[in-house]
Amino acid sequence: MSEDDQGLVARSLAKVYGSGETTVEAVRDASLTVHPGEFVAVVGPSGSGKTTLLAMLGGLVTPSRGHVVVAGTEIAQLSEAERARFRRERVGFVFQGFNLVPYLTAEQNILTIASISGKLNGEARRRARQLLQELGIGERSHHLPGKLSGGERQRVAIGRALMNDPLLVLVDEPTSNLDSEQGSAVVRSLADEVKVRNKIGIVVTHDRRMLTYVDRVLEMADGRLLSPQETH
Amino acid sequence: MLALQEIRRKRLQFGLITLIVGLVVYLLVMIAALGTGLMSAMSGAVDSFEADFLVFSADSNNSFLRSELTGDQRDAVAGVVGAEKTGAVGYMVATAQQSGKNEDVALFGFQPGSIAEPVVTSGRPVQGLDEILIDGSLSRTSSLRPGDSIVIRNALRDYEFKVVGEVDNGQFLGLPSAYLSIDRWREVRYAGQGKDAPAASVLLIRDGGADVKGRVEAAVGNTSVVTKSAAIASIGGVKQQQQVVMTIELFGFVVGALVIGSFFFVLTMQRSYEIAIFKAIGASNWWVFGQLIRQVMVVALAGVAMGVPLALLTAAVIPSDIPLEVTVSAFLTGGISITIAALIGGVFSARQVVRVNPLSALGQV
Repeated sequence: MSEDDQGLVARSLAKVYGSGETTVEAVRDASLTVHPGEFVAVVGPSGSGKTTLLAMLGGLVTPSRGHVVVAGTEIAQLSEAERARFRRERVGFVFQGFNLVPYLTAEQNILTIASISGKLNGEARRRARQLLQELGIGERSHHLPGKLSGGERQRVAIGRALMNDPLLVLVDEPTSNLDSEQGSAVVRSLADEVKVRNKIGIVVTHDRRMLTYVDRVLEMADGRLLSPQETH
Repeated sequence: MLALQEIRRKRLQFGLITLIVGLVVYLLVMIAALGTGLMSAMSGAVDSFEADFLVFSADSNNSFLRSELTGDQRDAVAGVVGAEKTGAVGYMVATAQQSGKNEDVALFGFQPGSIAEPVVTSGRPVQGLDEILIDGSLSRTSSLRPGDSIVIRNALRDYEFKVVGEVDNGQFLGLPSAYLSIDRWREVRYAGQGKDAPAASVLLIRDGGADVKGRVEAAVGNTSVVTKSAAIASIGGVKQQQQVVMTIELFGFVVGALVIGSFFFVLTMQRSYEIAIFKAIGASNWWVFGQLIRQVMVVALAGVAMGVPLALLTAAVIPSDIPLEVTVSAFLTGGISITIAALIGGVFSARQVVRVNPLSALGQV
């Protein structure tokens, strides 16, 4: 088994929206490889295709061309139900706008992933509480998202992404709703999680201050991935 | 868990829908109860006969008022099916007088000891010619009670009867029923005709065996044998009344189902954002579907639990002269039908909403 079989390999990925004169090619011929334990940033201006790329890597969007293989699984070949299963078992998403369920408390939001996996039990509750403690919001566990600050909501979203111990952690603009200090803390804790637990981490950002904590930076412009550069 | 959490957090929203479901259930139960009450007022006394088939005279068009059977016909029918399986019943409309007050009653004569004898719910059975049983509907709407006396008058004389008990047989053609022995009924009904008077209006048959209709009609001339339900349907106006009530029930159900279905549809579609989040993090369509249906069932059952007691309360306080009978079938009509309607509405909404693109959680579509 090669190292790539454990990591993420994307080849010639493209995503085309619309048809005819309204065709928009959001991502063009993007290829990348990310190994376990590696935390990679994709940077670029708004509209450059970063989020679409992230959605394709996480099995949320089917590529128009190319393929994505995660730990030996070719995502494009999975059925809709299999892709849903892949997302809940292998992927942890941290969305740009937090995307917490407003009527669930911080702890319940983290537990949603256990609930949809049919694993809502005492062990899951213990893990959710542990994550809340580790993320520094243990005392806010019974608060609704509306009663939490932006940084706290972001940390709940991270807790939800890590709850099922996924292989792939995909983070979309983690600092867009946070101040510089909070944003750094969030990205640093994600980088630590990726390193310590040997996960595949990909963060999409246009905030170059966050790049201190990543292993590699991939530049994206007009839907294309430009030449990679090492940061460490 | 999540389905119930949402209900807990959105109490006002779900409470209002539960109220609407409850009111629709209440409406349907009340319509069904009024329909049953109306049917009971028109044909309850006939429906309570312990019989499968009724024998009318052939030329009566199965009318209780026109049917007249002779003693020979009565005996011949008993010979065909067995005396213990038949009972003679006489019918007439009479005016009962008590303390100067007149009350029209459906007066039934019955053959004592036969299947035609009504079941007494309070007091005792009729033992003599001058004794009478009254239906509960009469005691509820008048001051008449067991132990009182009433007078029934025909063209020749007054007959005084002592009320010895009550039955719960319902009314006939909107009149409370009263029961006396068929011998005295013949005297009252056919004043002065003596032995030539018809023996009964109809004969009841219970457990008459295979092809009882064919056997009796072939063996006993000038008779028409019909099932009890056919006999009820042939009562003037009953069939039309049944159709009107059923149509009202059907419209009530359809409108109620559409209202409830629409509410669930709007409620479900409003949550497409949250459902997109669940789907984005890996929830299967079945999981989403299950959560939505669980909520629909909780709301529907809570609505039924609210509507049914409300109907019972109304039945308890409504004036007794309004024909309202809250029965198990009325509860089933209101409760089960609306639960099913809610479920159909929920399934339809859920089918729509599970198609939501999970990408919308990222604000991409």
